[in-house]
Amino acid sequence: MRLKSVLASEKGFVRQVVIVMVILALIPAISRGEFFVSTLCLSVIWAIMGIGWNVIGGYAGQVSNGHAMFFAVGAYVGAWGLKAFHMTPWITMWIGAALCMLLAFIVGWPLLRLRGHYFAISTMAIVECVRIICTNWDLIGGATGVSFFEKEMSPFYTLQFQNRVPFYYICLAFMLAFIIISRVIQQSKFGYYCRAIKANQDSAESAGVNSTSYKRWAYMISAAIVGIGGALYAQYIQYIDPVSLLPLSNSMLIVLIVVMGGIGTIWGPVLGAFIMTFINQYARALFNQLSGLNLFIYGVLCLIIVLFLPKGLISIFTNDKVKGVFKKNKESGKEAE
Amino acid sequence: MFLQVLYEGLTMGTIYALLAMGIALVWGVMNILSFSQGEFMMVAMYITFFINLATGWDPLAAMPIVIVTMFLFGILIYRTIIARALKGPVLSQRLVTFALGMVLTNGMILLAGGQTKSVPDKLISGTISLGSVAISKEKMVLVVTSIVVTGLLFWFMNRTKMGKAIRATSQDKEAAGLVGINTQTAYMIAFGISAAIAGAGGCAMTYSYYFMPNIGTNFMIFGFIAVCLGGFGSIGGAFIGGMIMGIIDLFTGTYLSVSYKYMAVSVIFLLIVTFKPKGLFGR
Repeated sequence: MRLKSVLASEKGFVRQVVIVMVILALIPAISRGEFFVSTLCLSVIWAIMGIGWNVIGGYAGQVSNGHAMFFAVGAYVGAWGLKAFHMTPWITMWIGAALCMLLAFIVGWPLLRLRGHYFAISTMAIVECVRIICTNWDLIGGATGVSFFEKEMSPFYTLQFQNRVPFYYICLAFMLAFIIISRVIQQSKFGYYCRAIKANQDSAESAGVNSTSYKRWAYMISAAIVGIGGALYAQYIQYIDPVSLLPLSNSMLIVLIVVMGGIGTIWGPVLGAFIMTFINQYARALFNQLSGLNLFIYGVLCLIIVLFLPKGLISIFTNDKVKGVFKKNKESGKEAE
Repeated sequence: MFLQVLYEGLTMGTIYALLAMGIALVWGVMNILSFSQGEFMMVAMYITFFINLATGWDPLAAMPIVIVTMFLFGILIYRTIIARALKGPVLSQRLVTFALGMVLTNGMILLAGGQTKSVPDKLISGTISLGSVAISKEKMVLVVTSIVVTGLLFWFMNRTKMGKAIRATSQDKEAAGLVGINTQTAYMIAFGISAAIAGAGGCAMTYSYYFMPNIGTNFMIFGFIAVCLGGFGSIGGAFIGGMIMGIIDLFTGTYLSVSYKYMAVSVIFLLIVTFKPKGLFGR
């Protein structure tokens, strides 16, 4: 009964989910080329991480520049679970997510009291610590990293597929789940408190919002989602090392994807992840003779989008010029607020 | 040994200080966390390198040209990108500088290749030996440059009309506008000076270091940490913060462990920020 009433009030959102999911599910029918499907998988993984970052960065307004840490923790737990203990990623990803939450709880205790640039810089410093630990800790592979391709076991057990189409659907299912979680957070009391903190922390506090507690919960949820994204990425790439997982640019790319798509929105991270991953991957493949050109193009595009569309690419759809499913949501969102 | 490490720490500190002062200026005046400062330094290194390649000039002789070029480059960047970004949200401003850094790094890889480069045949080289301490003259160039730049910056900010206008703008933009200061010009000059500091630093660094296009990202985080140690946008604080960073860096690297030295810097920073959230010298 309650489910029915929720579904009725979320008609616009349900319609968007169905349309987007049907489109994304049908895309592999266009082309089953290996490179194309890999890029799709990568886009979905980045979208998951974007959705995760959006919880703390978009809803609660605490711009963390250190989410590569949770990404790496998720990836390392997934990789080592499979390599050392032959544990399926279906289990280890939740262990990784729990570990990320614990880490976020500990790290968030001192850091979430900081504001603005100080918070951003401290999260970067934490990632730097994690990077140095991972580089020097020989038990988890050290600087050479971990490679863990398993041929003997069933691909549905290890999540390592020769043909990536099933993996794409698995990632898509996770993305769907996180989109729904993201929507639930956005519409819940918790989401409203987060937005109040984002708008003005001091006045939120004086109105009785326990900002430390809500920020910490947002940080932990965000960490867990990014951790699962990391676990999926590890099985996708099958080789992880500190250099590829933990540079500053990785943390920034998560932020960039969300801001390009549309910060604080449900679909922004998804849109940003798909567009930017496709541009990056295809530019790299196209200009592989000229090293640097792909990231040069990527950077120029980021500059243009951030400068001229400060609300992200999603604002093209929510603009009054384009009428459609997305506009309805904007109106209902206004009523709710 | 102790004195030697102290000297090396101070030289390292001057690099961090030069980086941090540029960041602190932009942070203090226009509240942007500038991710492109390290890349500005890298661009300055390559300008020095190309001048040396084309004319054979020593980096010391090229330094005035590099500083002026970087100042103009900073103004160009301000006019085309930063001025527009300032109208947007704070996060966009930060990301714009990050994207700019990406463009500069990869543009330089396209232009000059990704290999490490160095400037050959320096005018000043060798070491002075003072008892147990061997002072490398190349690194001395860096120390002297840093001291001169810091002195000039302080003189400019405290004694000249433009410097006072920049400081007034950083304190209260509206009030500064009301008393007739052109705040747009103040912002532009501040950004140009920040790039010029990077120019002096990058030019002096070619004296004793190899460089490659992605050198900027490597020590970016330490520039930020140095600024934070000093406290909100304070240039003097940034200088001292940079020096502290250099000394921590070398002492932990020498006496504890080379591989964990950057971690020591980060951990000390996190401890300080936990107990003094506005930095050591913050108000």
